[in-house]
Amino acid sequence: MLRYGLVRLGQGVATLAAIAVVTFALMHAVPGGPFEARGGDRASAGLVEAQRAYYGIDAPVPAQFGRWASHVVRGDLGPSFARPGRTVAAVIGDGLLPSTVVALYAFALAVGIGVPLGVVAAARAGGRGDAAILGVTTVLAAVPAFVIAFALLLVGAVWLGWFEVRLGRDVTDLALLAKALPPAVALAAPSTALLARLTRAAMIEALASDYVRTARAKGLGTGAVTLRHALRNALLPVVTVAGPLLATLVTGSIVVELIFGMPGVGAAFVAAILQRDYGVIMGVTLFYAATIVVANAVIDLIVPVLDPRIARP
Amino acid sequence: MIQRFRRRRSAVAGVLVLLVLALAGAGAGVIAPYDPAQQFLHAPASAPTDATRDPLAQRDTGKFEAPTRAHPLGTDHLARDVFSRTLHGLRISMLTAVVTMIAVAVLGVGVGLLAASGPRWLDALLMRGTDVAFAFPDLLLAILLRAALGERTSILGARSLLGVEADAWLVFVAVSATAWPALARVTRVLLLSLREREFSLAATALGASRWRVALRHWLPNAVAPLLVQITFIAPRAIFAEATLSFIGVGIRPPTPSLGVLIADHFGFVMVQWTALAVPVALLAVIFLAFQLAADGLRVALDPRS
Repeated sequence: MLRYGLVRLGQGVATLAAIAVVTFALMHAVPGGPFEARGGDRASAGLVEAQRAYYGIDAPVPAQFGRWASHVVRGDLGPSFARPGRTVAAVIGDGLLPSTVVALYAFALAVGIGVPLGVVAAARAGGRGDAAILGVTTVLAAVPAFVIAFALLLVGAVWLGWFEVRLGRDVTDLALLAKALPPAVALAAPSTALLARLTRAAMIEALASDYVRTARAKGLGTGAVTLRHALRNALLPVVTVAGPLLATLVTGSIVVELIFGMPGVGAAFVAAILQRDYGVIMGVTLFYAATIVVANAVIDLIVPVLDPRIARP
Repeated sequence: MIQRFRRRRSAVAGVLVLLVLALAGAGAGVIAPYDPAQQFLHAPASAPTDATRDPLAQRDTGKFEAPTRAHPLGTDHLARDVFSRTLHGLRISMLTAVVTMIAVAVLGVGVGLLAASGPRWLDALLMRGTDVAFAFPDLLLAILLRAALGERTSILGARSLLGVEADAWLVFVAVSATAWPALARVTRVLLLSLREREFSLAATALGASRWRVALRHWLPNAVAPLLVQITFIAPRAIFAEATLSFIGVGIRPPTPSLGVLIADHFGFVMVQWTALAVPVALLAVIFLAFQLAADGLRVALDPRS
């Protein structure tokens, strides 16, 4: 178990290192540096030169990578090119609260609604309730959060006036929990549908298995059989998709934050791309990748606990 | 197989919807009543007052016109015909799907084939390469790639290809480059699963070369499941294009795609919500239709289900 964990940790670090190299290479392949474009004709050659020297991008590329890597290891992720005096870690920190709230909210919605919905559908497999759940989840699973966010915006903000089109920058108060609901619902909808469908399929299989028949034969009630025997086994395939699901939550949050005007990490990332702030682009990419790698590692460590048969070196 | 597909009504409906949308997109130049860039400005009906500074009052100038017979979906913030722009946007979005599907199919199946039947070191190299691509969230990599590709004004020496500007082709490149590793993986696993089957062992025993076995025996047997995987690429490509364009690194205005239309109309949603609702609804319909068609294809091609 310990060895498995260490191997997994090593793989995670190697993946992050590969992503760091690829991201750095991509950002340094961009024709035209970060400062040439911004100043336009007004920027004198001397000014551009001074800025390049200040941020160290006149150095050879390997030296630049070394410098960036040392910033990454130290945890400040280097300076932002577009926001003077700020580090990338500080820029990410600014947007962390709204992003985390929306992401956790969405994750809770997806698991809290998706899994029970799948259990209910499986219990009525073939019936009318099952068909209804299957129909709704087919539609929601096919349509990305991006589209659902706009649909929600049109219905909730434009037609019914339940919330503002732009949720605004004021996100530090308790109202944040209410404000984060529309983006969280949009973000969670496809994942909820996917989880419901997966849980349903796994539950139908589990309910038809021998151990469930044995449990029933022992005289256990429907609730105990469904929750304690069938669901426990059905959850395993559901847990294994949590990783890819989280990746879609992370990338989905970029656009959803933009749509609802939330000042999160995703909004900072998009602003950085439009401003050619390569420091922030690289930092946020690494931050997102790290989130996904850590989550995947946690899932891989949970799975052998849930199913001892999978514990392998 | 075709009969099994036809018996699934949802799949047939999906294919029909896609056909209609593809035809509407392909015929955009003929069906659309106006040029997508043409502006229908006219003088305000009254002298400018405080009221005309209100965006709602600017309807007088030909912007944000409500739907009329001349403009079935009204006009946008630059007084252009929304209906014509939507049709042309549909064309670009559908083209994204087709181009990406072909590029990813060739690249993904090709690399998968090389990995499955080439030497061991090539397999290891190709699979480690896709490992890194896999660790990246698709959309994030597409955004970074598009940003890294920079600006281009010509493609293969021409300003535009298939009526699409050089810039838009870079979007196709970025989206394709992020989608192929998944297909290469699936192809490799599918082909390797056929390696120990009787027909490939028999072909090898009869003296067929490794490449002959791969091309003549493995590939034909993997076509059905691969076809399903390739179908699923199309909605992902349309989604990626729409997202990139919405963020501002995709297709560049004034060329309309569904993503550009959403980006254009999003800022004016309180003035004219229809212009935003139409491309959003079209995207939803396209995704659903592709899903239903691909699901139908999967069931029809898998005799066990």
